Amino acid sequence: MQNKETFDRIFRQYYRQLYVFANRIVADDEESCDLVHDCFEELWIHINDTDEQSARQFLYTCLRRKCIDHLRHKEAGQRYIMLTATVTSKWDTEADIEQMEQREQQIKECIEALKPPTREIFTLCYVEHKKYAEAAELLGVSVSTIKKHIVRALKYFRERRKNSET
Amino acid sequence: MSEQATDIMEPNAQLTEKQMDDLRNDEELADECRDIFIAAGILAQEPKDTEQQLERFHKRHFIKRMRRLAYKVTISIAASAACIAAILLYVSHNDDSKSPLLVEADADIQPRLTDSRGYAVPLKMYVNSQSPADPIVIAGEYKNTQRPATVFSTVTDTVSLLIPKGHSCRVDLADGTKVFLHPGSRLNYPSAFGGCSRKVALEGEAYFIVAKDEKKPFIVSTSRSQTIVTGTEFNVKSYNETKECVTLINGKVKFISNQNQQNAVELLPGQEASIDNSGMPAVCEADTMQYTAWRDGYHYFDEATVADILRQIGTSYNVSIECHNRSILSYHMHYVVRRDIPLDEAVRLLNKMGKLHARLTDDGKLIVK
Repeated sequence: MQNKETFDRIFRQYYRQLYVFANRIVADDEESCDLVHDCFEELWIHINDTDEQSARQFLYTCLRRKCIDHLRHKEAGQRYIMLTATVTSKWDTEADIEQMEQREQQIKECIEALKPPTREIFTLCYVEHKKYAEAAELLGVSVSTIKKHIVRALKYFRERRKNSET
Repeated sequence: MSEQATDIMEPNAQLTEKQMDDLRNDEELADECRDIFIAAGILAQEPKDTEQQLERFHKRHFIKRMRRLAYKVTISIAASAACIAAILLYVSHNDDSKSPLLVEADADIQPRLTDSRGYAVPLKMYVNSQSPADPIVIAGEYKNTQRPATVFSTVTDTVSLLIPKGHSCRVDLADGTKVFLHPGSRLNYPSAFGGCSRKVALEGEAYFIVAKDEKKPFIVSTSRSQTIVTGTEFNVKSYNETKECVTLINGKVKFISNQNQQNAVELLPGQEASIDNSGMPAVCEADTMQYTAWRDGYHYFDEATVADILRQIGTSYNVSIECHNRSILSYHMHYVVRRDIPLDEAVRLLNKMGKLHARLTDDGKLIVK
């Protein structure tokens, strides 16, 4: 019983962020759902020898491995897999994950400060996976405008990161 | 450097070896790419009900544990185990124990449309006043009220429509063909029909009213068969768990089993083709009422088993069903209802027959006694 309570608590705390993490990588609602459920199943099996502190790291490392395996299974490009592995490499150790959570909070604040057109561009490209040329056509602007918005936002994110590091 | 990150993170970008090298060696560049990854996560409005997912998780485990328990009962090992086994057997015969799930609801997902790369495409469903249970999807349409309307970049882009449990719809294809999709089905179709034939792919079940075009045969492809027609009405049933089944209502069809492509069979109205164990097509007479009734917006069960009726209710409303009295599952019943009625109304009509008692619990399960 005690284990179920602990498990449920962990599930409630991390489910959503894990689902979002998976979906960014595999871009498939159902698949992400299944992958996250698989990770929680592995956690359930090991719930006796897992302490709540290390659950988050266990779940992220497990999920990351499963998502990348899924990409390989679906025969996504070698380089795309490598890109994914590199970008998500900071969800491996407890210290790094903690850092990424803070980073997420920072970027969240930055996004709220972004002007709607820039936010729209990010959503079109990185949530709906539109190529820059497609996004440009949809919004009636040039590709260089699209890129300009993105670059400006990235510089803003970077500034914010540097400021917090000092 | 931000320009570099922008280029690397473009969706479907053709990455170069140089970009990969830079990424490996430049931590700052990796950080920028990561920022995009994180930003995407924040902007994605993913509607996920955590509580529901948690429930679903435990339900799967409950069923796994029950199955393991049932297995132990049939093996019957040491004295104490045999004792427990005997008690469990006694209890299950008396139907007082936790009853096995007859139907399990899926996680609640909405119908969705994806393009050939697997990315989501906006889906617009129109109200169908003739048959409210089947909202209409129009092929080849891409409408987004927030952004200026545009068309697919390639005119005959193929899309995949998923209709999960709890939903049904009618798809109007580019040639005027109408397809009535059942819950738990998927249809792949192009936005327009080019070439010399009209091809669609189906998983699950659908009723087709095909627009006449003698020059361009219409082909329904499933994992196990091909059905070829020119202009006609027929039903295709292609679920993994049951036999492949194509029933002709009127017109003419040619049916080909993928395992045995030389022996195509031609069906006459009222006939049904299926695939036997050796992969050969087989023809028999069929009752077409249940299929035409679906087309007209009804569930039609004539002397069907309670088990079958319950399974259909489970799929149509995406609800879990438990049965506490296994003996009534083999009763035969007549049950004809409109498909657009709410679940509690469907349950009331089911109970009206007096042969069983079904009750909806607060957490959306149907308990049948």
